[in-house]
Amino acid sequence: MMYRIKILSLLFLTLLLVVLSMYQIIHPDRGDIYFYDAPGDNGELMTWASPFSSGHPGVDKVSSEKVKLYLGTDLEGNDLAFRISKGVFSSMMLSFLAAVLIFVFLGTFLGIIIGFNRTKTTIKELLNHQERLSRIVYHLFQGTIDYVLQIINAIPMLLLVLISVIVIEKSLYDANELLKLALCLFVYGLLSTPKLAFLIKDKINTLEDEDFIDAARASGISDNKLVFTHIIRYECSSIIFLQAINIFIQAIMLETVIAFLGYGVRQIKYETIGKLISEFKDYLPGTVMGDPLAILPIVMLLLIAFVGNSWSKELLDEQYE
Amino acid sequence: MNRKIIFRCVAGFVKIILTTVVASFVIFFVIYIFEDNSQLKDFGNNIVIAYYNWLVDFIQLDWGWVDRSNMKIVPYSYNDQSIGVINYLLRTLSYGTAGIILALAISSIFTFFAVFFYSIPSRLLLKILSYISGLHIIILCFFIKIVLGHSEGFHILVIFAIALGSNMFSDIYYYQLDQFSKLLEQDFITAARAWGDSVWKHARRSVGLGLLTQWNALVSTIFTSTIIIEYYFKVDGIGHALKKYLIEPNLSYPDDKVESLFFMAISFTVIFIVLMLNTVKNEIYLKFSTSANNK
Repeated sequence: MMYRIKILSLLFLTLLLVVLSMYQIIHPDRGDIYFYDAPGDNGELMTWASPFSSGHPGVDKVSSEKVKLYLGTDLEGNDLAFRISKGVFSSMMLSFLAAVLIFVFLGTFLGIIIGFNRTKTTIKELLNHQERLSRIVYHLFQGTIDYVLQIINAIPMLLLVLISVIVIEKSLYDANELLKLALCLFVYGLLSTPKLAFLIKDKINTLEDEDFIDAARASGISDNKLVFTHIIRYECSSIIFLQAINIFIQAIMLETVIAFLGYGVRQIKYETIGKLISEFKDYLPGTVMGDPLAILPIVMLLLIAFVGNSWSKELLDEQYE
Repeated sequence: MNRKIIFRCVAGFVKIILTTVVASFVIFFVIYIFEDNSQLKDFGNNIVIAYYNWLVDFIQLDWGWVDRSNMKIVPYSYNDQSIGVINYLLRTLSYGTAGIILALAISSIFTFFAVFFYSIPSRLLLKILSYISGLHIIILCFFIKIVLGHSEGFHILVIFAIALGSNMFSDIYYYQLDQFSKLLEQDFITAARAWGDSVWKHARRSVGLGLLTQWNALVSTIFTSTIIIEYYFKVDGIGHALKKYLIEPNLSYPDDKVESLFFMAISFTVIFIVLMLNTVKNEIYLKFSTSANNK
């Protein structure tokens, strides 16, 4: 019963996140400049209007239609719900497309390369036994990739990401800001691949002694089918999914860190969670000009992290059971 | 026997040096290739020769200058006229180590009570801490700033944030939970409990091994967490140094060269220390597991 309640509440929170990120698509587009300005009755911009409580929903200057302010407005009078929704959507899409995809595909691919059919003999023994040249070369190739991945793994991630951000920012100074951010997250996804590759390698190593692998080989199954169906699909899918969720959240957090450092998206037409957090950080409750609404982007970030972590913990618990 | 140990030490040290050189070359490569007027290009037109020249200078402890503040980069500084990389590194390491010890202590004590004494409050607390630990360190920073109003300098909460930040506590807790649960099912534990013997005596090995098993992942995590905390709260350490000498000048004067020499010095020393700590851990782990097998 408790388990069901837990899963249902997690599903509800996930749905809430999806609906929130979709709000900006459902909401009517009102041009580029006055995209989400929400003026009050007298046409003035409402600074930090509370959710639902303005009493006079904003009226759009162009189409004269009424604007509902579900989450109030920000300092400039813009519809906060729209900005947050756009930020959540952009951050999640960027994280998924730029970091998660490369992480999953390259990490799995490298894991298979360094793990599958790994000879347990040394190169010296291979030479002494006069093995085929292709086998020796493949062994060397596996060893080299393993070593390169170990080296990348040894470098603290923040240092590599930091220098990538600075260099990308400097070398692509006039490029699109969203593209630069995507590139930074891509680098992060790329540099995280050793983590997944080593997990898959370990899994393959433990599976190699299992009976079903021998049985599959004896029944004449091809190596490709053995790897992609029996090992990756049935045995490693939960590891990959777990790591993908982890990287998805970490990439969103990294975007926040990048924005927080002073880089990342700054242009008005783009929104990300990181941009909103760094924009509102001087107006957090407790500061001189503080407003409770300034905390909303952090709440969204918290919600994303909570939902993602809860799903991965459920998966982890299921694995343990 | 002694010769064997000496050989292992020398081989380990050579491996660390080689890996550090290759890893720092990766960073050198990124800066050299992608930055047009990099400081590193002054070392030569060919990337390999430039790296070799930089490395020779680095080994001779000529670590260069920070252009903007006109300060010399040195390994250890005794005055305000130079930037001591090791000074900052030691502070970061001490905060990080304090964070790890705190995380390990909290996790060990409460997991022990939760598993062996079925303590519900301990279990609940661990669950909550594990959830908090799943949040990124940056959220904890905001929390400390908003709720507790702490904005600058060192505070004891910084250590708590490092201990909980970026999954570190969660990783240790899950490992120890697994180990303690396995231990609980062992016959000798049942016998020890029936005898009235202390269970902790048997469980403490899992505590140490728990830390050692997670160590490689933890070292990188503590560096990342500590650097972010130092950056945010202006606590003296690598994070604050990066902000002061690299990020702030780069943001304020985007046309100036990136302080690559400073970054390379920091990277090389950090990578070296991380690898050194990992190797020391491997040796301790080997000793632990060998002595366990002998018993």
